[in-house]
Amino acid sequence: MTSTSRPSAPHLYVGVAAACLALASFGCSFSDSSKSISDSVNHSSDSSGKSSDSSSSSSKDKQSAFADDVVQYTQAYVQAGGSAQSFFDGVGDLARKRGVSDWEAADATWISIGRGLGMTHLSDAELVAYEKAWAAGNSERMAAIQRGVAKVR
Amino acid sequence: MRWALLALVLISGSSLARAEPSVDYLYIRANEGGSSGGHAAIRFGEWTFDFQHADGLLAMRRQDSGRFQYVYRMLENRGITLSRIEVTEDTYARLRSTFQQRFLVQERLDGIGKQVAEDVRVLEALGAGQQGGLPLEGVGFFFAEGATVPLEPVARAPAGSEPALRALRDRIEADRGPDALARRREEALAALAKLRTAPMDVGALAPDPRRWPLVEATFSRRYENALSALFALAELEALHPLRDDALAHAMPGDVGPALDPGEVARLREAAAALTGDLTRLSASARPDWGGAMLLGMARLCALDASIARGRLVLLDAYSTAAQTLPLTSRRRALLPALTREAEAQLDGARARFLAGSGWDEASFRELEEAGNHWIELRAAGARAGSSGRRGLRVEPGPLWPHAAARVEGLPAPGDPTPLAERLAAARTSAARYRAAMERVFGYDLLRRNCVTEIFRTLEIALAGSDRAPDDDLARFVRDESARRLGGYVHPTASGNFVPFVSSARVRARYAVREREDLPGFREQQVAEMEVREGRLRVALRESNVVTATAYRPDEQDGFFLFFTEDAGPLRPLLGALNLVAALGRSAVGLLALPLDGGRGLRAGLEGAFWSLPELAFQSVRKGTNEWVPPALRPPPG
Repeated sequence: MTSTSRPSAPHLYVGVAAACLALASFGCSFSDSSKSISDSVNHSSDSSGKSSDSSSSSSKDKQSAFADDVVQYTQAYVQAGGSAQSFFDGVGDLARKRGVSDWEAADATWISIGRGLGMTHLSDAELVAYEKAWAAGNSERMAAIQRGVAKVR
Repeated sequence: MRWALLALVLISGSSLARAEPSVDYLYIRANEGGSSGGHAAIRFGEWTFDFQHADGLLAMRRQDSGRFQYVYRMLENRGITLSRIEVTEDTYARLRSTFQQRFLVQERLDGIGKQVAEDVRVLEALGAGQQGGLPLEGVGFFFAEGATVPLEPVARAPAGSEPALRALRDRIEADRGPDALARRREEALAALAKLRTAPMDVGALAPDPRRWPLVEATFSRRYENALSALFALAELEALHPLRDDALAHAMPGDVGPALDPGEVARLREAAAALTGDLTRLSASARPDWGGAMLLGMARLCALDASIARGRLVLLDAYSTAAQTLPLTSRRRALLPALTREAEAQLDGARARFLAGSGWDEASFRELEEAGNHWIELRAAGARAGSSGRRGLRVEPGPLWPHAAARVEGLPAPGDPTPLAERLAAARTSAARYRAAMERVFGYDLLRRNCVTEIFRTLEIALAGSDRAPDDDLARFVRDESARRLGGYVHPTASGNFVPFVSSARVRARYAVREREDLPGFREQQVAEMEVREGRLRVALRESNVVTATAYRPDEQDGFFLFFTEDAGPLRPLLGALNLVAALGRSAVGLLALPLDGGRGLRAGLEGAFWSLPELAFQSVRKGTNEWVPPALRPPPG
């Protein structure tokens, strides 16, 4: 099914002109199902209710979406030079948008923070400073953060 | 052609088993309404990223890949050309991470805009004095609309009130001391007393899609956090019962499905674990602990009620942003099938939650969402059989309970600066932030659209740094693109900003391993019918909206008679017939204006507009569907 064909020149010009006209009229906006009765049920990949549905990404993958976002956020935050103090405001925002309320209680959150830290170019000393600041004396959180760091360093 | 199409559908299913990393570039064909010039997106496994033009800005969006294809292919009848780009593990991880981070940055920047606007709203409410009120999430679980902010200690409830919350309070006081609640109340009041009302310094914040925006929490966020904490503490003292209107009901008194003894035992275990988590949360240093506490306590009460009744009791999870669709005759006919689909999803979510252990918030939220869908559909079905006083609420997920209620008696923050002065500064700040966002993310047909930003984000990933672009970096990016993707596609040059041109360029220049043409729903249905019934018969029957079985005229679509996608040289003729028919519909709609609120006129005029390209051999419209039954949905490509 591989294809690397280019569109023929006359076809391309007519198509580009038509697409430009249409784009000029309505731009890149596009409709969604947000006013459709389809949103009365879930249409994400793993919403079928079939636990072994091979056509979908696994439930485990989807449940870890928040954890994955925390990894990416931690990395982006530290690389932008963020201080240790305001970091958790961002975690709270991420959690709120994904329907997670008690993110502190989940070990996975702290492991993700560790993974994000481990993916930065921090020196070992800087890394330890972040770990201590964010664990705030809680040995379980510190251990989880360090487990996350160890997964990627 | 149709046989080939059907073969492609079957092949698309088999491609899911691939093991090598690949990035998929998607070209989505046009349809009437939005994105009439086509659309583009990029997929990394379970996530599909695209850019949406809304309110003058071009915003990145991330969607579940299954949902993305359902919306475009099934609901909008739009075929997708998928170009699968072969990459190494390292390149895949780098590109995916960059798209993820850009999405999170975008989300954060949008959030900052909302918080700056919220500063204005809270200052306006404070300035209104006694008349002021503020909607606050979580309060509506236990307090009525218009509840006064509890600044003074609240009288303790008599024995017997909300036993689950009483047990929680006892445990908090056992673990943290008998004055634990009083100490937290003092903390919240102290936070209010020292709260500065200055707006965010947006001048110091230059929105940049490559860099995380570092900002402190806004005044309004801190203020609302303190109020939420006060309400959570007041509830722990007063132990008000969970409000009936905070629950999801299909009919008055009716709740969710029945539970067997094993399920009740599982809920007991979950409630015990949640009580432990809430005890820890009550001592948390997170500034927003009060809102999380209100939601956790409401869920604890719902679990307790489920155990007591032997039926699943769920909180209402629709927000105030949910759309309420009127129940037209066509929608009413769909309700039974949709309810069955929702029931199957509820069964799955219920099984996953019950198979777990302890308190698993993620799977409980899924259960809440699936249960709310099922209950809302049943409620709509019940209403459809009666007076139909309300429609059907719909909202894209994730759903979780918000229970916003207006609160009054707002305490003044300790900041001595006059509120009017702060309000003027906050309004200026909001306007400046909007202007800064428009400079960076403003939509531009040729230079910043749904295609160009995909390639710009690829360039950010390939550059591997957030330094400002220069000639050296541009050369480096081109070399990296050739090395990692097999070639380079400029974001705007040579018409690349046009979706279908960009798709061809990707296949011509990148290391594309595979191309798949994923048909839209109608196209796929017609292909399958031709295999079963013969081409000529199906082509004639499905060519027009009167006899077609793969399409029912949708209330949202413009009026037309003939599909012209496969009409070839007959397209202008059929387009002319569509135009005449649509103008006729407009005339009828004009006469019916006082009766139908303009729906007929709108359908006629839109139909006429989208007939015009057909006169010039261009076909855009494909019709849309409100819902497609699960049995007719192909696996996503």
